Amino acid sequence: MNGAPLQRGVDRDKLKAMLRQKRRMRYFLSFCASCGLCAESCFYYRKHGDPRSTPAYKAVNTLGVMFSRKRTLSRDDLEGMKVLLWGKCVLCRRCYCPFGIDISGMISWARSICRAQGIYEDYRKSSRGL
Amino acid sequence: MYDFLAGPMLWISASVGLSGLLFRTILIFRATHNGYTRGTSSPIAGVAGRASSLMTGLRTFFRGLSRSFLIRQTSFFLLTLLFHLCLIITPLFLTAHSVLFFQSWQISLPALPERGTDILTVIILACGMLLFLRRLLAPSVRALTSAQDIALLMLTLAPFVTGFIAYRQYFAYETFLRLHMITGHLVLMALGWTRLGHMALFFVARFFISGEHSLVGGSRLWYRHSLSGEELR
Ligand code: HEM
Ligand code: SF4
Ligand code: SF4
Repeated sequence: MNGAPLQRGVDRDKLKAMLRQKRRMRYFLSFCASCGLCAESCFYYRKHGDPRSTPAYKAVNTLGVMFSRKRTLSRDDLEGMKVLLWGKCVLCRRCYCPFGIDISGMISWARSICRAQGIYEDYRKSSRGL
Repeated sequence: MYDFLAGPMLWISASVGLSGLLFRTILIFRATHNGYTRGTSSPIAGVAGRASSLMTGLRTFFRGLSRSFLIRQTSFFLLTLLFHLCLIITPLFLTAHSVLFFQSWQISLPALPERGTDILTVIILACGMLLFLRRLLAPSVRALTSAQDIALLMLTLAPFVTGFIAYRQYFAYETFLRLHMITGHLVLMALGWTRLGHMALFFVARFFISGEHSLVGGSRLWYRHSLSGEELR
């Protein structure tokens, strides 16, 4: 009875089902050479120069982690991804990869997965507002 | 051990590597769908379409090119192109390999002069070192780098280092020859089952998918749409 709000877990079946829908994204992740060439095509990265905002970094550390740790991922892990998914990407779809990996598609699907778990950016609380 | 590594082992590693490559190419290809054109198409539109398709194809190609890294990041493009070209040409057309190919299968591939392959090997190693330094020093690439990426880059370079040392007979010839053969077989096998198989994705994505920055306008799509536009599987 410490008053902390009870955290809901992760709806694992839904998570797995949504990951299964996008086979191509699993293949994308298995071929990404982590060469960082996509960085220069992302206006957000170019503006802020933050190495944790390159398109591949955002996709690998959100959707990539969902694929690789789909059995153990916690709700906190998903909450932590909000910064990358909403804070550092506007889904402008400009990112370009020499292999044709659809990076923004992966970021977008990771957002959808979070939303389906009830995790999303609350713009009213965001410091910068809208 | 030498005879096994220089002969029959090639069958094993080549079939492991190539079958993986083929298997994954099929997997990716199966994740794509046949594209369809929206709206109705009249016979006239069909003929006109074919007449302009060469022009459209060329235009798509050059538009793709102008947006590609060839134009956007020329120096890195040249670096990685040089690296990859030498990587593929050197082992195939090396005189010493040519002799082995002939001994095992009686096929004779054209062989480059030994001085030429020496230079190509040095180019590979130099480009490899630059790629490695970039991985360590460029913050954006460093943040992406996992141990696996470094291991695979090193594995790719290993047969070239050991082969160079063995061929020049600087020291420990026997040891380096065996190391060369072992790492060579490892790279061949890894080609199919690790990130090194990226060429499979490259050819499917850049030549068969329409839109999505493809170099020639392919006719396949990553997803199938219903008539009302929603994504189907
Ligand atoms: C013809 C098919 C191939 C294509 C189109 C291709 C394309 C690419 C591209 C676009 C990159 C990212 C840029 C870079 O980091 O250099 C890359 C990286 C790489 N490729 Fe390839 N590649 C092919 C074949 C191969 C083969 C056969 C090998 C090795 C046996 C290989 C080894 C590598 C390595 C080690 C990297 C990572 C370099 C780094 O650490 O930055 N590639 N490839
Ligand atoms: S998404 Fe493409 S460009 Fe970006 S790091 Fe991966 S392979 Fe390189
Ligand atoms: S979609 Fe996101 S990652 Fe891609 S270029 Fe736009 S802001 Fe960058």
